Amino acid sequence: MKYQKIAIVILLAFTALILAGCTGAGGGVNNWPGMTVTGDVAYLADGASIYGIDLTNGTQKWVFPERQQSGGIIESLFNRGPNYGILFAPPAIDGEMMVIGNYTKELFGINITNSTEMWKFTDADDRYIGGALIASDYVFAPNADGNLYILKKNGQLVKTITTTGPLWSTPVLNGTVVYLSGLDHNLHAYDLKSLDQLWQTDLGGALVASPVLDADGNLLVGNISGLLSKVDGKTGKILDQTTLSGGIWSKPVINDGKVYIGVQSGDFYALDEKKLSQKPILINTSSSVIASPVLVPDGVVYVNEGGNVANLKTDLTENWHQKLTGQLYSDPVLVGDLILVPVKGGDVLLQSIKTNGALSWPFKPGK
Amino acid sequence: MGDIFNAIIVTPFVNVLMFIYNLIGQNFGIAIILFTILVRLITWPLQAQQIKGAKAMTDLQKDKRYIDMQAKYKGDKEKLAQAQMELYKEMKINPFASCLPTVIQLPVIIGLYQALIMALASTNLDLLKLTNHIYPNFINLSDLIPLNDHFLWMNLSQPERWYIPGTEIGIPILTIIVVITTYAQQKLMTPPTMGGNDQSAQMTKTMNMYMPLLMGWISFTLAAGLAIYFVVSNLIGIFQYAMMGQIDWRNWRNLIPFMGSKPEPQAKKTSLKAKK
Repeated sequence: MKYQKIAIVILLAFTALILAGCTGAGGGVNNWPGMTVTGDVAYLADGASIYGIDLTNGTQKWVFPERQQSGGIIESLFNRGPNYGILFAPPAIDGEMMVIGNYTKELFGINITNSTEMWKFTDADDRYIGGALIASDYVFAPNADGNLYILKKNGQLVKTITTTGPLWSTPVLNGTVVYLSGLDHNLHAYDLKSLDQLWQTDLGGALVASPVLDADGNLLVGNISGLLSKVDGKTGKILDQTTLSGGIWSKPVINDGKVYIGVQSGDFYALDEKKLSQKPILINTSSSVIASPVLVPDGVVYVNEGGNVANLKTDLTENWHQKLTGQLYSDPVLVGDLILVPVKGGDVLLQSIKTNGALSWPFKPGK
Repeated sequence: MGDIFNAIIVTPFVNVLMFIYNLIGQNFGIAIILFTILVRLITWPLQAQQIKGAKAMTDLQKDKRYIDMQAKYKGDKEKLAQAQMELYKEMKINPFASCLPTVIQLPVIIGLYQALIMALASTNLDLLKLTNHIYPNFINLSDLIPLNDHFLWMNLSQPERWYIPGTEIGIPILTIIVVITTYAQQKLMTPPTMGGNDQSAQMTKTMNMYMPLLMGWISFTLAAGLAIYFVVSNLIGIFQYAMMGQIDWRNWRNLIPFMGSKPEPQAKKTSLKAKK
C-alpha cells in the first residue's frame, strides 16, 4: 500500500512536470535570447542569466546574477519579484550601466563593473519583451502592458505614455525623435526633448519588429501580416507599401539601394529601396526567417528557424552556407570579421562564424 | 510524435479557442469558459463511463461476498487479490473502467494546456508558434492581435495574484478556488462506502489528498487561463455528476476534513460475523 501511494504521488508529480515542461520554463515563459554587443563583449540574455562573452576567444567574461537565487513558494507569494526573474530582452548599455527588464514586471539598472543592482523600477503591470533605449538623459522602456515608461538614468520615473496595445519592440532613436512599433498596429514617434507624441500611424497589422531608418530619415517597418511599409520619419505619412509572402518579425537592412528582408514563409527578399514592389528578387530558404539579416563585406547573411546561416551576394546567389544545431531567431551581429549568431535550443548559446563562412568559437554558459 | 500530437489535438484546440474568442467579441476569459464547456461535452461519454465504473465498484463493496473475503483473507493480500479478481470476473466488472477514461483524458488535458498557453501568446516565440498553428482559411489572426488576455482582475497569460491595495502582498485567489473546487469535486464524487481499507479505497483517499494540491501547484505557478479551465471544469464535473443523480448531498460533511462519514458500521459487523 505504501508503494502504491508513492506511485500515485510520482504519477501526479510527473503529470505536473509534463505540464510545466510544455512551456519550456517555469511560469509559462519561453523566448529567444536577446543580444547586445559593446566593445569586445557580447551581452546575451537567456532566461535566468545574462552572459557577457569575450569576443576575442568566446569565453564567459561576466554573468548576472552572479549566483542564482531561488525564490520559494512563500517568497513568491508575498513578493512580486523574488529574484531577477526571466530575462530575454536585449540589454541596453550606457557606459557602466546595463538596463534590462524581466518577465515579472521589473526593470533593472545594473552596474556591469561590480555586478550590482543600481536601481529597480516596478510600476509596470506586464512583461518587458522588447529592449530599452537609453538616449540623452532618459531610459525609454516599452512594456507589454501598453505603456512606454520614460525614466531618468537613476531609475526615477519621468513620464508614462500609454498606447492601445502591448509594446514588444525596442525603440529606435534618430536625432531628436524616438520611434516605437506597437502590437496595436501603430508606429509611434516621440520628441526626445518634450517627450510628447509627435505622430502615430496605423500600419494595418501588429508590429513586432522595430523600424529601421534609411538615409533620408524615413522608416521601414513590417507587420506580422507581411505588409512592409515605408513611412516619412517627420510626418508619419505612409510613402510606400508592399505585401510579402509571410509575416515580418524583424527589421530589414538597407544597402546600396536595396532592402533585404526575410519573412515567416521562408522567403528572403532583395527589394528596390525606391519602389518596394518593383521587381523583387527572392529565394526560398526552406524555413521561417524571423531574425534580421546582417550586412557583411560580401553581401548579406540571413539565419533561419531551421538552423541555416547563409551568405548571399547582392543578387541573392549563395556564397557559403552553414547548418547549426538549434533554431535561429535572434538577430545576428557583425563584429570585425566575426558574425555572432545566438542559438535557441542548440548545443551552444552563441556561435561565431567568420565572414568567409568558417566556424569560429562557440559559447556555452559556464565555459 | 510531437507533430502528430500537435496535428490531432493542439492545433484543432487552438483554432477552436481562437474562433470562440473572435466570435464573442475578443474576451479570452469567456472564451476559455465556453471552450471548457465544449471540451467537457465532447469528453462526456468518457466521463460517463468513468462514473459508471466507479458506481459499479462502489456497489461491489456493498456485496456480501466482497465483504466476507476482506475478513477471510485479511492477512493474505495475494489471495485477497485473487479472490477479488474472480469476483470482478463473475460480476463482469472491469476494475480499471473508472481509471481508463482518466488516462485517456490526460493527453487531452496536456493538449488543452498547450493550446491555452499558445493562444495566450505572451512572448514572441509563443506568438510565432500560434501563427504556425492557425488555419489561415479559418481565422484571420492578424485581425485578432493584439490579443486581449485580461479578464476581471487577471492577466490570463501570467500566474494569478490579487494584490492587497497599497501592499506587495499577493493573494493567489484563483489557486485557492482551484484547490477548493478540485477537493469538493472529488469528495462529492467519492461515496462514503469507499472509505474502507481495501486497496482501491486507499488509492482514492491518496488521490483525494494529493490531486487538489497538484492542481493548486499548477495554478499557482502557471498561467491563470489554465486555472480558469480547472475551476470551470470542476464545477461542470460536479454539475454533471449531480445531473446523473450520483451525488448524495446529505454527505456534505465529507467536504470538511476530519468530519467525513465513517466507514459503514454494517461492513464491520459483517466482517466480525465472518471471522467467527
